[in-house]
Amino acid sequence: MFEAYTKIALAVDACKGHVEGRKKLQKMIYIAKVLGYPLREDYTLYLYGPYSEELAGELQRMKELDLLDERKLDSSYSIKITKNGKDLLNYFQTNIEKEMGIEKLNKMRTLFKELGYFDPWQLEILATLFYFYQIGYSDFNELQRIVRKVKPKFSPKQISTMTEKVRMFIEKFAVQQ
Amino acid sequence: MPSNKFRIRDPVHGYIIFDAKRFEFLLNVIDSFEFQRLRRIKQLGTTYFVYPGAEHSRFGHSIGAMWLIFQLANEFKNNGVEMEEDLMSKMLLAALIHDVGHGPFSHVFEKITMYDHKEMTLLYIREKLSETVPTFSGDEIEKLFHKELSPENAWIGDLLDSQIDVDRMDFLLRDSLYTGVDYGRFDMQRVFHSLAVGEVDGENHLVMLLKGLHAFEGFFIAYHHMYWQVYFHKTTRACEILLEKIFQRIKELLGEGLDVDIQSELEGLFVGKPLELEEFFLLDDCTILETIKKCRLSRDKILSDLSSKFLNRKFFKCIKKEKIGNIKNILEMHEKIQKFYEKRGISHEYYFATDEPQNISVKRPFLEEEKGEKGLLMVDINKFGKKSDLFDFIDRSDIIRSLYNVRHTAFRMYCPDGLRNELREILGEG
Repeated sequence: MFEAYTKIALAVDACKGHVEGRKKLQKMIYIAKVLGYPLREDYTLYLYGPYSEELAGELQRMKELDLLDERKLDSSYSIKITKNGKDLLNYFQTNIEKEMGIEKLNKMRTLFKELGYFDPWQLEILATLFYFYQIGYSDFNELQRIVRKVKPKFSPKQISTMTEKVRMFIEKFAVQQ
Repeated sequence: MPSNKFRIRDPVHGYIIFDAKRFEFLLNVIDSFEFQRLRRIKQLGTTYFVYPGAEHSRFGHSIGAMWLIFQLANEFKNNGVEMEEDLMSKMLLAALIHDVGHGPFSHVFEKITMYDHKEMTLLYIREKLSETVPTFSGDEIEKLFHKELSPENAWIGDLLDSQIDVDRMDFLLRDSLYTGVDYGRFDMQRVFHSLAVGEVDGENHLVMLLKGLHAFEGFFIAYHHMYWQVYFHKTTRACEILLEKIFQRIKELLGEGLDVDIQSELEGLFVGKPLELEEFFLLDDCTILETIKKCRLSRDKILSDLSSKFLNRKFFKCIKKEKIGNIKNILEMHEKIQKFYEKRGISHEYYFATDEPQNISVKRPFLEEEKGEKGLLMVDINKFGKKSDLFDFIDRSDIIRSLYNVRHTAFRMYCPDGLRNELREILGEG
């Protein structure tokens, strides 16, 4: 449980302590999981986008424990790591290092940092691409075709751009489980 | 004279009877290696250690779900809902194979190996299904799982995947029967006859009839109770935790290059080698149990001990803590626990665990920008057949409103029996 909270705290901390909203964090964790990092939240295929009820519960719990702070901004939420969250991260980080190895942990941190730069809509496409990649759509043309079909609100160009990112993320960040 | 029907006697639904010629393709799937494998995967994983009757398999459940969707589709058809034979066939097939991608002891297996059963089912559909049923392409069946349906057939997606889908209807009744826990029972017949297809925002979706209000309440209450009485039972979770620790230890030892005698089908899995689909379908409960039997004889003391505990049902004991107040408490508690284990020379990593099961029994569906569940919608039909406007189920039920979007959680700590009393004292659990 504490390890799970620590990894979530690490994800937020890697993004300079702030992530725009729960959906974005959901996608970031999912992508990291697909790339092989030891994140244990169960994801459900929900309407072409991966969603974890478990992660939603953990975020809620972390908020109750004042490890994360969540504020509503217009139409979205802002999630920030609190001082308590940082204390938790510092305390349990050695456990995570032991579990993953320092190199893998640093790689995961960098991955979260890079994912943090994307807008929520970009991560939505990216997570959907990774979802279909994961279930066997390894041909990138086929991958784009299916995602264009299930995400008609995005343009072919947007999907094509994010497909290139999938390639990049796999090359740069994929690890053995 | 040979019968033109195939019959399966099911303890939950009674006789399941299909026209053998019309539904020959279903028999072909049932007879396939991948589907027969489901006989060797228990529906409830480790629950039989708590409820000895819970030995039922995913095989029976899959056939049960298929039977329910067949019954409901016929009911709707008799009430005027149009449906082509081809679509009926695809729907039955989808219901039949919806769990084919499950691994053994799924809950733990998916946590440790990252193989998701839904993804594996879709992979099976894409790569293997058409070998068994050449008349259907994997693409056509996959579309049902992704709810890529025409507006008039959207209700099929609801029957396959929603908060009142056939999966849930079957497993509640089945799990209740086999565990002996009556809480999972609900008035299936009343629910059955209180479902209909109604227009929602230009699409035909599954809706509930007001006359079945109490039956639906019973259904959701059954779901809620089964989670807390059976699926999240503290001893079931203790068993899962132990299984997880065993897998973890195997993974660690193999990662260090040490020799660990396990079933050959599992070897690649623990060193991060992706499995081919054929290799995945060699895994069943027997694979895991045989591995644990081998691990009992391991030279590694931790692995040997944990494996023995599993086989002899000496699970970790639960110290329930209602709530952790704040981060200071968390860190203090953790500090105490670590010191406790260090003092005794026992591995904290392998002989201690926390668990925080959680569940929302009636969820708020995702609406807005994505196509999907249109809510738990009800309609009233008067004696003249006149329909009311659709309304939210929760507006008519105080009981459901009390469960709606409420996350129920528990917090538990586990340790070996011999350490329980001391640990409870140190943590002030009394």
